[in-house]
Amino acid sequence: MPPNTETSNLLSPELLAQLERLELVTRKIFRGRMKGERKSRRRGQSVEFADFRNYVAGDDLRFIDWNMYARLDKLFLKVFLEEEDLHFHALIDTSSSMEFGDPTKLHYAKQLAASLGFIGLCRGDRVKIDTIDQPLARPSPSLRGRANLWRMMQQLDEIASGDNTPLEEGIKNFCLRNSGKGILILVTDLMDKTGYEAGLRYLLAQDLDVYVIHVLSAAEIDPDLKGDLKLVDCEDGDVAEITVSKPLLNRYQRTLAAFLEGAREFCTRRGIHYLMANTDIPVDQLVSSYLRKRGLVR
Amino acid sequence: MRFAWDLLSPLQWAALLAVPPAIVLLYFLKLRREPLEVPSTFLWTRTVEDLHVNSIWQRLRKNLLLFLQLLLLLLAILACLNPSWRGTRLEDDRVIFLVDNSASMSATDVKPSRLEDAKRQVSALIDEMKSGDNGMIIAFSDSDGARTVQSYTSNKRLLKRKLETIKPTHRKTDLKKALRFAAGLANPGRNAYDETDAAAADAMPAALFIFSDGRVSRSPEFSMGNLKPTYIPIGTATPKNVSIVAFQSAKNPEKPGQLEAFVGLRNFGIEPAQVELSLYLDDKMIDAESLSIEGDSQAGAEFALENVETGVLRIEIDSPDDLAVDNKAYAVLDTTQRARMLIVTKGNLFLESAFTTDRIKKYADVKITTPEHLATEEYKKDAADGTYDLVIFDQCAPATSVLMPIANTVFFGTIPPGDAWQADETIEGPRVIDSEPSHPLMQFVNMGNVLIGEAIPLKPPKAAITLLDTDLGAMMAIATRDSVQDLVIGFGLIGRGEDGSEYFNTTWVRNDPSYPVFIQNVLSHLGGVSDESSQMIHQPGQLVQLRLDTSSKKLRLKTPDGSELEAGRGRTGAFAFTANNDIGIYELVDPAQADTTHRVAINLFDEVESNIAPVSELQIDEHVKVAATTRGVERTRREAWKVLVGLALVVLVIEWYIYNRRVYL
Repeated sequence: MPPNTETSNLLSPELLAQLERLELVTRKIFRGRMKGERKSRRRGQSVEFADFRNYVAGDDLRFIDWNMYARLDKLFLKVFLEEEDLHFHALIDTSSSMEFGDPTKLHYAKQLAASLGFIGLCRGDRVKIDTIDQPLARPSPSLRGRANLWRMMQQLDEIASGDNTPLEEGIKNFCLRNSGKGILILVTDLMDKTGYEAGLRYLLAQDLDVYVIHVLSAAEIDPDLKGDLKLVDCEDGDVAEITVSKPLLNRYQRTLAAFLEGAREFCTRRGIHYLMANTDIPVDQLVSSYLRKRGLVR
Repeated sequence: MRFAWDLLSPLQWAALLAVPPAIVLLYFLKLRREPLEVPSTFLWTRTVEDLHVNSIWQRLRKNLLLFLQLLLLLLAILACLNPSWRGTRLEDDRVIFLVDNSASMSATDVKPSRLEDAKRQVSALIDEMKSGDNGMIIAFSDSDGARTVQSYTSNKRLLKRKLETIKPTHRKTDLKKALRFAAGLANPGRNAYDETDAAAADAMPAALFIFSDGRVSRSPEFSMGNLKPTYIPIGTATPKNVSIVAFQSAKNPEKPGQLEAFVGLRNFGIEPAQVELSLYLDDKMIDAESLSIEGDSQAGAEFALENVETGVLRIEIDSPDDLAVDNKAYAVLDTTQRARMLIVTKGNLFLESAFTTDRIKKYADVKITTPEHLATEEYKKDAADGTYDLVIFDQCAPATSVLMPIANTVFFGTIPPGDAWQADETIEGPRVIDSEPSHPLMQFVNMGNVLIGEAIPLKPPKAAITLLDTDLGAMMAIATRDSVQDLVIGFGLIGRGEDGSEYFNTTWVRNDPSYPVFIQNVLSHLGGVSDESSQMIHQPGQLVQLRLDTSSKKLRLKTPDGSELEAGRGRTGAFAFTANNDIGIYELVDPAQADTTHRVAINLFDEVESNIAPVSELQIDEHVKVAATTRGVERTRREAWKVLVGLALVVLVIEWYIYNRRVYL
């Protein structure tokens, strides 16, 4: 199927060319179901020598190290690293709050998921795109290979906000749907009044290499508000009446900084990679610079 | 400061007071918030929860604009009420300050002195001047002491600085010249005799403030014109002052070698005063006396001095009072000034006897000669050199005007040579109809009953002063000739018959008391004779003339304040100088005579000046008096509404700024 026109909105040709040279990296080497380009701890057939073991009857004679036999007069078998595939998950927050910003945080999250998913597809990794509001009974398809790029893009295009599923519930459902290990990037604004901590703990239990990309729009980071306002929460309709003043804005900045710092500390303590992303930062810069430094790509 | 309000009726007050609560109510009621959808109120709720307090005070604290609007309303209400206070203000845009710095203003009944108090009041009035008002300061004492300290300026600082330069003097008080200065612009000059003459400039009315105790020597006889005078008396109503009004010395005729010093005192206070007097000779105290003087009365004291020939006497009142300058007086004992007179007559017993008394001989050298002497070289030389102080021509005259002496002259029965004086034909029996009693020569001289025989009606020069007028013409006149004066009397004292016999030509010399008085006046005014009864009193600011027997043309003058000046010999041959502001001894040092010193005593001796109680009215002229005011300016109602409106505008600007900048407390 030809690629959707939406593809060009998420991934420009220049970005694609840049992403082709990258690969996803994880600190943890996980067992994949299929043979991929990943090095795994498992011993298998590959060109990369891993270790020696004693020969036992029935082993393949081709892997006997004859040099060792000449030296030691004993038979040893070479063991090689098994090349396995990596599971890459992108979990996108699709709450109503993600529709704000220019570009919207949701679009930004899609771009990020598309970029990293493309990298995974190019490297033969298994890529799966999920959303927070995705029902438990409806798992996302696993995609492999570059040929499935269009399917990934189509899936991303169909993602829309609206159903304000709490973060904890959405992450919990994800964990129930996906029992495997791998890399997870959670793209969210963490603007859940019930808190993000419980949800992230679910991810810890999954033993995933978790990356939390905390996306905020420029208007949320430095709001340009004036006058007497009645702020209406787009998700729950909650109202906050404020009279904008310099002290109030200064206090907001302090609250935001505390919130960000709290999330960073929570994630860092639990081995979760945390990155705050302003939607003003181009995705290619985020991927090639920030995520590279974090060790997600190389 | 007392405030006054234009009070409103209860209904009006109710309406006004209802406005602020209405504004508060409306402010909160009308507070609409613009709804704005945001991704989440999560952070905003956290942000505002600290600020969200239900107390009214916290809500109000956020509403700075409300406070400013209420303040603006309050200022507007106050401005409408038109508050005012009783203040002072100068109403005129041109103000002239006349500051009296005469001797009486040195009185200390007002601390630190009257002059300083006057300056303080002037300074306060200068502060009352509005922007653009012009002020002038004139200091005055006697006629020579009036000066413009600062001409018209709107620079208040300059006025105050110049005000401080006014120093006290020991001079008398004469208001006329100061008023002339003040009237310079207010009453532009015009010829009163020519109706077609227009004023040189437009009249500029001015408010005139006179700071003085009002003790002027004479009424200025001045027309105020466009000047609006205000007299501010300086000083307390009942000051205490005992002054020395006379001090002179004389040889005791009964005891040769003894000198007597007479002191005249006057107590101008209303309370009796105990006075301690100290007499000094050349700064050494030689005598003292204590006496008491009743209030508003006089007293005298005498001191006998043995074996004192020369020196400077100084009498001091040791008891302090409110004016110190008249507590000292000086007298010089070695008066060396002698007048030199020449009488040219064929023989006139009445004239000769009048000028050759023992008394006159003590103070004047009198030479009597005949008319033939006028043709001699000796006379010509004396006439040209100004050898004489006074030359009397009795029915004779020099041949030509060139031979007129450089001296004052008196002509009896003839006129001086030359074209200046003219006379008609001889007449008989002119009747005296008028005289000039204000002239020093005619002082205490009453010739109303004098009969005159033969006389020549005079036609004196233009600027001459007619001293005696008859029905047939002027009979006595005096005119200035260069720097001397010529007194011409149109009749002789005696007549001569054809046989040479003498007869009375006038009853004036026969038992008329005015004749010797007239002679005395001639001696004092024209002859320069001074004795103990007619010792010249020299006062500060006056011109002093001395005839000294010296060839020097200039003498060094040392004044009491230590400065050294020069006194030159004038055309009359006398040395003249103007006594400055201080009483004391002035010394003339003659370098040609081994620095011989001639001393002159300058004393105040002015009862008008020593009577320091401020007057309640200042006499400007015969009909105009200016009553004293207790304050220099009119009390006026100073309105504050302009200030309030200005403040309201400032608040409005602040409110606009805050509204635009969204700045809150």
